[in-house]
Amino acid sequence: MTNKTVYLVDDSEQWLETIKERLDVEDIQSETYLSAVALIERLSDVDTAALRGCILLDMLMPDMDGEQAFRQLTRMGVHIPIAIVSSYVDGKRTAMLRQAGIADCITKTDRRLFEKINTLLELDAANPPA
Amino acid sequence: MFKEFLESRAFPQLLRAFVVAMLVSFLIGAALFIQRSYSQTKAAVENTATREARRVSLYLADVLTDAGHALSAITGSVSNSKLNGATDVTQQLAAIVGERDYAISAAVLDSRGKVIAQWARSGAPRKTVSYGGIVDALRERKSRLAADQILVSAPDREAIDQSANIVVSKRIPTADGNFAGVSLLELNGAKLLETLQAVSGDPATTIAVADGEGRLLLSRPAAPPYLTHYPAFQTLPKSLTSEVEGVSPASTDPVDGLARVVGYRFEPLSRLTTYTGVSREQIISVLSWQVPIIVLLFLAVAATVLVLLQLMLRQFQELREREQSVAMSDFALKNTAEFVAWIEADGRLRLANEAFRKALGYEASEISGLYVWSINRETNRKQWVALWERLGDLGSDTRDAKVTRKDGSFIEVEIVMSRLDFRGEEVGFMLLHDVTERNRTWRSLRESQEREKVQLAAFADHREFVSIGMMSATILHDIKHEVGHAVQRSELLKRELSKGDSLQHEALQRHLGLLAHNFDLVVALLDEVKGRLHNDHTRQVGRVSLREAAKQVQFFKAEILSKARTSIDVRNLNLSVNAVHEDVVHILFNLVQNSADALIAVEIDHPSIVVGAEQVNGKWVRISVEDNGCGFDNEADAEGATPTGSQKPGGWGRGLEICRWLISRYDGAKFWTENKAGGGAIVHFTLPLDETQ
Repeated sequence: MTNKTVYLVDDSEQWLETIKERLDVEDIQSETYLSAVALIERLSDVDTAALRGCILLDMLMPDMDGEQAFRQLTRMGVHIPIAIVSSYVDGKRTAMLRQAGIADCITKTDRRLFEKINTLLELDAANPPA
Repeated sequence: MFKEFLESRAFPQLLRAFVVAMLVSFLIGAALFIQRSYSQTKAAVENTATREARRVSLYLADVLTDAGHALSAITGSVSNSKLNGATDVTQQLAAIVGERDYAISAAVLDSRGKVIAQWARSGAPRKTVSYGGIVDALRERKSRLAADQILVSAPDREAIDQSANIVVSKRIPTADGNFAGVSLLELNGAKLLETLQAVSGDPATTIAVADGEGRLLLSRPAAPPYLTHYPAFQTLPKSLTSEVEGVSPASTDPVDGLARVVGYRFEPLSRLTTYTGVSREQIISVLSWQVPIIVLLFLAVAATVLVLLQLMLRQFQELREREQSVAMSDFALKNTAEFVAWIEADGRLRLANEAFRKALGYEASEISGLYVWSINRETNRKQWVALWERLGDLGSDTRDAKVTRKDGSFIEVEIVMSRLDFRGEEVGFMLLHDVTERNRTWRSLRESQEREKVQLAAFADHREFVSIGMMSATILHDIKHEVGHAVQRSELLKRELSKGDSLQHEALQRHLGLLAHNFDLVVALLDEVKGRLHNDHTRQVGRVSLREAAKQVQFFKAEILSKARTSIDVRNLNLSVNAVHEDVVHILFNLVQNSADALIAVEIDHPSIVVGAEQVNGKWVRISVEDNGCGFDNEADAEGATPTGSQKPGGWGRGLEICRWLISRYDGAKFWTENKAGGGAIVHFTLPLDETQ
């Protein structure tokens, strides 16, 4: 759990598969979850302070959307960078989420998606847990 | 004349004044009568008492010329006749005599005529001291009296000296010829009081004479007229000594005793009518029940007068209010803007107010020549007769009608007709209210309602279209997801291809397959949108009034606009565009919704939404929706390049996407957004000008 891991959460299995494949190519460890609830259950038994890496949350999901998941994870003590990934990105909403602590908001069509993931990992590296 | 007087306002007032005057007169008269009666009664009683006293006095004076009788009577009835020889026998006897100048001496003789005691006033002549002198003097003055009849008996001189009782009695000669006597010069009735007081031995004694039942007959000083029983009488001595001859020893009633002695029985008080003319019952009534009756009568009359005054006051106030009401009614009828007229039973107009005359163009003198059917051509004489009868049953009737002016033009009015009984005469009252403007408004409203129905029907189609638009937006989201997926997959493909010699066909095939799958999905989604749009049968391009469209939006967005504390400020929306009505409404609908949300989010002092339009290049109309909310946060949106976001918190830009998409369906039309310098957002779009306007 101390290795850098990208936690991918999206209700599209194909999307998760593509991104994970891309991360594998880049030798970046990743875990995929089809819902935010599944990720939260996964992390409920671990030392969240020891987590390293970042989390990518899809905004629109059936059970719990990205914003709700972010708040829940924050309450659980997850400190690694969390980003929202969505087909649409609202500037106002982005500002609000950033203010709440979201590291970034990324569109799915963004060709620089992996650069931004790397940026998130660097951000996590620059802020190791105390 | 008399009838008019009876019906006039003055009559009830005069009548009430007369009644009150009568009552007051009665009260005053009753009071005077009672006062006079009381005074008369009082005077009569007092007079009677005085006269009776005088009469008794005179009688006593007369009777008591028989000195023996008198003295016996006095002593026997009023006092114990204790003549204290040791003290003041002379004084008492002198008092009894009543003439002190004459009563200068007295003597007590034994039965043989021998003086055993005698008293003389100091300085008095002593010529009458001797027995013989006394007898002589007596005989000289009262020749008719016998000497043996004037006697005071005493056992002896010692008895007198020892203050023994000396009983004065009428002496009847005995067989042995012994007798005793005393000289009485005069017993004057006018001095009776003093005499009796002297005899009683107490000058302060009040002397009263009552009958056997205790009723007061006489008193000195005079008792009050209302006193019928004299309590002091009870204190008088009631015993008679057995030595009083001629008086029943058994009698304990001094009055009776006196009466017996003097031979005169006083008349009962009931006989006083003989002297006064006033009955006893009258006296009693005056003194017992008349006073409370006077008080009760006074209270009753006072209460009646008060009630009457209150009633009069209230009626006076009601009269004033009625007069004022009548005056106001008259004033109102003359000056009201309503048309008022009085009608005869035959349909002829009798009176009309100024508003009526002015409205119909008639002079006052012309009114009486008009009939109902003259001004209401929709009716005739026969119909009027029927209406008049119906009014008799119903009382009033209301209807709309057209009345004809003198110049032949019409006024639309509402007529309220009433049939009234005015002082026994059946008359009609007609109130006409000009409803021209009202009818015009109603017609306009009806037209507006019809138009609204059409618009609502159109909006139902519009909502269906909105549903299609929302569905399209959802599909668009899915397309973006697939495109994003394809982009990421293409990155993997590019990376695979960059491997050159180590290119793995298997991986390449998989990437390409997935990519193709993504594009297939995108195509399918686009086909779905196309199919939906193809089935959109509501699109009908035509002239669209921007003002009407804005009004519809205002109507359907009233609630959210109210929350945003604003309304749509329409500027220069007289232009019309050549477009699908629902498109225009839908675009404005979305933009106003976004603006309202933005205004609710920022809570500024003067929220505003302005929808304006201007002609561009002679063929286009640029429509702008402007607000002073939070503006576009995304610079790209603000610049209008590819507006993906929205200016409201929580939105995902689908409204703008739909708007853009709708606008894109018009060749050459544009859609762009920008942020205002002072805060807020402006969304512009162009649509073809309707050149038919």
